[in-house]
Amino acid sequence: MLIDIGRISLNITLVLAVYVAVSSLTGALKKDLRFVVSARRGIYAIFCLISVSSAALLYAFITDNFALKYVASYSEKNLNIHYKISAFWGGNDGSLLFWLFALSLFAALMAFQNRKDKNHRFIPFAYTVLMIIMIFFLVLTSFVTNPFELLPPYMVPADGRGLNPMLQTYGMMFHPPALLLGYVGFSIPFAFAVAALITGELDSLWIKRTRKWTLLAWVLLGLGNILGSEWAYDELGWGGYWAWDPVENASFIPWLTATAYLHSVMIQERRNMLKVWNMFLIIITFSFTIFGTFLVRSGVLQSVHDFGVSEMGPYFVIFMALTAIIAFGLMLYRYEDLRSGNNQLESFISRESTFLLNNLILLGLAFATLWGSMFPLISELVTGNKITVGPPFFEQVNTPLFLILLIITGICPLIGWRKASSQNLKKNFIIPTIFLVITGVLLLALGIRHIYATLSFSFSSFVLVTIIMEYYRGIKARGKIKGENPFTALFMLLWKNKRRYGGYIIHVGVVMIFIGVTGSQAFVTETAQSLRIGESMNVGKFRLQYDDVKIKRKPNYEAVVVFLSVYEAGRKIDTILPEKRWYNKFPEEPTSEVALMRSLKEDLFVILASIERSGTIMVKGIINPLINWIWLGAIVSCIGGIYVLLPDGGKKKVKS
Amino acid sequence: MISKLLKIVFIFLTVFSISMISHSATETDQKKLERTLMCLCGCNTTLKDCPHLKCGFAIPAREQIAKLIAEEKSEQEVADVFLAKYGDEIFAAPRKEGFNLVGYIMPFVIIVVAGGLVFLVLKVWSSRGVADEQETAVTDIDGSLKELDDKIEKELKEMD
Repeated sequence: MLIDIGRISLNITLVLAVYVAVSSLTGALKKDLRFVVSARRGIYAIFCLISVSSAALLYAFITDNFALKYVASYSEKNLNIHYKISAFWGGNDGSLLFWLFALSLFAALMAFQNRKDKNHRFIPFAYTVLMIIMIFFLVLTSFVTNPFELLPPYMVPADGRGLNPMLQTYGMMFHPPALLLGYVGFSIPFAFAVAALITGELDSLWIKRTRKWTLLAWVLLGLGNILGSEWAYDELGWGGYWAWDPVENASFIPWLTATAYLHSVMIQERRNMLKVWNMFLIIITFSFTIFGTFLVRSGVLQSVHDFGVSEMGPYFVIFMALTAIIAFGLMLYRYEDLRSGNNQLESFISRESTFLLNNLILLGLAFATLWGSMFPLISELVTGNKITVGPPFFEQVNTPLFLILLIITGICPLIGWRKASSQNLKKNFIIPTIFLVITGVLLLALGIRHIYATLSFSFSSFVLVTIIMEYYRGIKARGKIKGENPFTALFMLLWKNKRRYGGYIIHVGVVMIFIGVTGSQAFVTETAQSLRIGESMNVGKFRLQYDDVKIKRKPNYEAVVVFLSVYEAGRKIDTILPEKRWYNKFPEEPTSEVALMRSLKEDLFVILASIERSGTIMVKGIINPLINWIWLGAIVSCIGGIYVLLPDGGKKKVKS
Repeated sequence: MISKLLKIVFIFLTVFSISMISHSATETDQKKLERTLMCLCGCNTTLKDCPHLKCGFAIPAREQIAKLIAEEKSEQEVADVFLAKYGDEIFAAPRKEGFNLVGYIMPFVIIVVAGGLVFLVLKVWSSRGVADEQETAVTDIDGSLKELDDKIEKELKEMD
């Protein structure tokens, strides 16, 4: 019964989405508000209907309704309830339904946010664009990968096939939703951009209306990427967190282009410049989110993350091609209007120039990542030779670009808008540069000979000093003018200008991520050894002693748990318990549960590689220096992002 | 002063580059080779990182590398053995020869060309710009004061 409701809701939504698209378009063309109001109400109804469909699927998972093909494929009776919930997006069909749910939620919020705006025609056009995107995904979920597809009665199993063991982690509860919400979030600024192109309302209003949406999508996409990395680190058992896999790259590319967009829109808002460029950036960002959604489902490129080959490829290709043709076609049509902004700079050396340099490197990184991901296909097409483009390629090509990006992060705030004098540059640059050199020399003196690591740490110190200086100057200025003490001044500074100082918090987080990546890439120590009970092995400064082994039984898996005592400088500091699990539904795919001893300085990462009947084990121990700075940096960046999203305390409404 | 600073930074970077070249890598030959060769079991990672505990490809491949190193084969010779057996697909990064060079060079070519275009655009725009003698640098303390002054004035008006 509930399944029928879910399926019927989806079908009604498709009809309703077509109605909303037509109604909003009619309202916009005829300038008739009645159609627009009707369309807005339709958007609210769509959100309710898709919520019903999603709830129905969720209910089917929770109640083990294996009559549904999707539930039978991705769940089982003994699965923990939280994994039954996350199995919702564990496969292709459910993840697309989640896409739709997120899009309907965002569309409803956007419609509600703009409900009182009767003056701008781009609002109803934005509804139309969002509905076209929605119709595409509704067609897919209704006719190609319907999560409500029923199995014939004679094929309904007593129990499901179970969820892939690697997805039975807490990371998978949060990583895919965050990533998908990030992808979907960019639909809103894209819809506004296209609407602005249609109506010719090309000033900065559409950017201001979507600024927080863009930032929200950017934060969520970044969070999704980082959570994915953390999941890979905890679960995949190879000691790393980013493999430059095509699917990983596909979610990283739109994040890079969106980062460029977030910076360059500041120039348009302040100086009425770069209208063409910003339009281009938001169109490609949205296109890359669709490309990422496509790539994970197409089977075009080999990836550990994909859902396998599906029939959806041609639909996505057509949709992506149409999106690009229409959006770029409109851009060409409005090219002269877009160029009409302020296209002059007071000085070659200005913040505007450094922002352009930042955009150049971000886009360069996005291109290099896309190019590397696609190069096996290109090479095979040209030479007929199959090649692999793996981590060493990306490390060689992208690392220098990342370092340039890092140093630009520090340079940008030091150069003023419009024009910077040599005196200004001297005053701003001298202290950070001294710190840069001191850090480099210090590292050299400490025996660090890794060039990229040295540069990364030195540049990080440069950026951190520039941020501290920015805060110091702001505090000093407020103290001088308003007589505030430093703490009040800091609080007011943060409260009154969230965008600027919240942005610096994000930069601090980014620097922390750079520090973490550098430490864990450049100074990793790895040892693998076979041990019998009572024996021990050294992993860097730690000694691991194999004390005991036990069997653990859970409803849906059995595990062998190994007890390893960790000694440092002869003193026992901990006992860690790496595991090897055999899930009932996947007996041929044993998984390893990593034992981690975390600290800010380093992680001791221990994995049980194999175990013999005699009790002899093979253990792999890795020391990952500074790796936790990555996760902490991500948290700091998120806090900064959320802080910027808060209403600006500096813009109080004047009471009449 | 700025040019002096730039010189210092340049010298500093050069010294580091040279020091890096003159020092041998800390990785063992085994690990280095494992990082440069792919595991072809379908895991899409290198031999070093294959997460499969009893991988039918990575384990024998690692053993073969160890054996070849023990026979005092050079890195290139080990790579050649794997190339002959599995083709180019075995390398984690394309070999720097033939069409593969396009793969390495293209991103930098694009960045240089795009950088040139950005440079030209900036030059044109700055030549159009009206030279403003009054500096308005936001990070400049005086600039910050002026900005804050305006804000405070505005707030005081709002309070009134």
